[in-house]
Amino acid sequence: MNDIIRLDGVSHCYGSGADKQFTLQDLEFGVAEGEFVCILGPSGCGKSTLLNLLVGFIEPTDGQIVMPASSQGVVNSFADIKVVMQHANLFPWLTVRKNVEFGLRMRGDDKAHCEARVSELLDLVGLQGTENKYPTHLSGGMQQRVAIARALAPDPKILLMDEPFGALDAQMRRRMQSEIVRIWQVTGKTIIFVTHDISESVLLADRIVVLTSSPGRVKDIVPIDIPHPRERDRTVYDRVFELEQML
Amino acid sequence: MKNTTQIVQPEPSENTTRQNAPGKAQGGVIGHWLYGGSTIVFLVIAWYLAARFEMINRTLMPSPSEVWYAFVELSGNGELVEHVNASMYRIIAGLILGFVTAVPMGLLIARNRWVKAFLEPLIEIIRPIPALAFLPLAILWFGIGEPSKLFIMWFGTFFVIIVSVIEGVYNFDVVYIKVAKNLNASERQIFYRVLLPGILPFILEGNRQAVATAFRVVVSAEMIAAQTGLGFLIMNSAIFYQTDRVIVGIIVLAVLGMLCDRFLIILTRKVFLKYKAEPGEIAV
Repeated sequence: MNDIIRLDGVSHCYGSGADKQFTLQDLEFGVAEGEFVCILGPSGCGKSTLLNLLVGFIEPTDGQIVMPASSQGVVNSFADIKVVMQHANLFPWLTVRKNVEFGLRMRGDDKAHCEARVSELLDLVGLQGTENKYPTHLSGGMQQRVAIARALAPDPKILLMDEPFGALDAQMRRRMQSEIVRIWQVTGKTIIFVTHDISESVLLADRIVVLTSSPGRVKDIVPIDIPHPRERDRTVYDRVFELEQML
Repeated sequence: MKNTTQIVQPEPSENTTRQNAPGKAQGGVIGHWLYGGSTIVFLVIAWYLAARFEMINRTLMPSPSEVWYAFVELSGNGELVEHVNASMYRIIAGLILGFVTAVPMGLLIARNRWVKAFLEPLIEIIRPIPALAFLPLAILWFGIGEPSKLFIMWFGTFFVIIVSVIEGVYNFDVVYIKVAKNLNASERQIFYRVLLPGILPFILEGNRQAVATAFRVVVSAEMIAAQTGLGFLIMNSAIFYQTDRVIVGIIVLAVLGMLCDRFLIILTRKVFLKYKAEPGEIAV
């Protein structure tokens, strides 16, 4: 399989000279098209920095992020990567519909297309009939579904998720975990999923990129070959245990 | 980078919703108003009795019925409407002037650090000066007519609004800008589609305060330098010992001020901030 995105010796640091502090050092891995990759690391491993690098909010100090398939070649083209963050961060002043179609509107898509896309996506995330509600009237889980729909609306190549279920309660988190696998299978998107939860990464990922903390380096890349849908059963917990031993 | 994970949503207009909360607990809006209204009824009865039994000097404090007759007379001959119109015109014109100048200026100061460095100290120095202090100068500059009044009305409202705009921008969560950028928004779109609606609650809250300020300023200004307006009515009536008319002026002011504030609150809630959740409305 071809890598859709590749990090070539990516480093990032703050300060310079003697005060130079690496947040990320020599990250070297690729993500294949359609793959579900979890980036697993303790807090302080520079996950947020990595995320900001991937969407182009900041530039790597060293190395580069390459997207071979993208027309621009080098990433920093926001069009190809859309983010879902820990908190849904829906625009509170917009209805669910307006939130979902935000990305389409910004690039000037016409109304009919937006409407069709919104209902298609709300179907996908299981939120039909909420088009005209405001985000404050939705529960945390529903808000996160809207955020996923909003990120998927412009049809990005890669969906980048930053601990998207970290703020949800345990039950909702489990539900959303199976939801995201279903959405991934239906859409065939590449998903890069940042988390610090080992069992979450084992439940979701094709491969887990394990990072060390300060500075963040790639400690190991662990393939998980359990077929989907995965249950919280013995096979999964064995892998979780293995990973725990490793960390 | 930490601020991407810890989001505190700005809820500036929470004050407006909270003020009503105790009323709601006591059994609905109507109950709240009846309860509050009873205080006024009690006050009027006490006032009536005091006047009736000559416990107060009638020249200094008229009875409620005298005030009522003064009110009927003033509204009958059109005097009251004229004064109300004059005051409201000044208030609204002042607010519009303040709004259209303060909002762009506030955004500019909040978004551009050079403009900020240049203008903020100036604003901090001028802001605490009571608008009325400028009235004599304004009269010298613009004459005794309407422009001098408008100038200090603008002065009074401008600083209230600009401060709330700046505060709104500073309280605005930058994560929304990141999200918008990630969703293809241009700088211009971020400004109009994200920043402006995002700080709208602050601007509206500022407007409410500006209305209160405008009422204060207009009355003082009219007392000093005007031939119309409620401030003039009060001052001029007092000079001629027409205390009944003075009281009419004060009551009309109170009612107008309250109506304007209510109007703004309702407008804010029903039109601009209808997205704010009411308690118990969250779906699970």
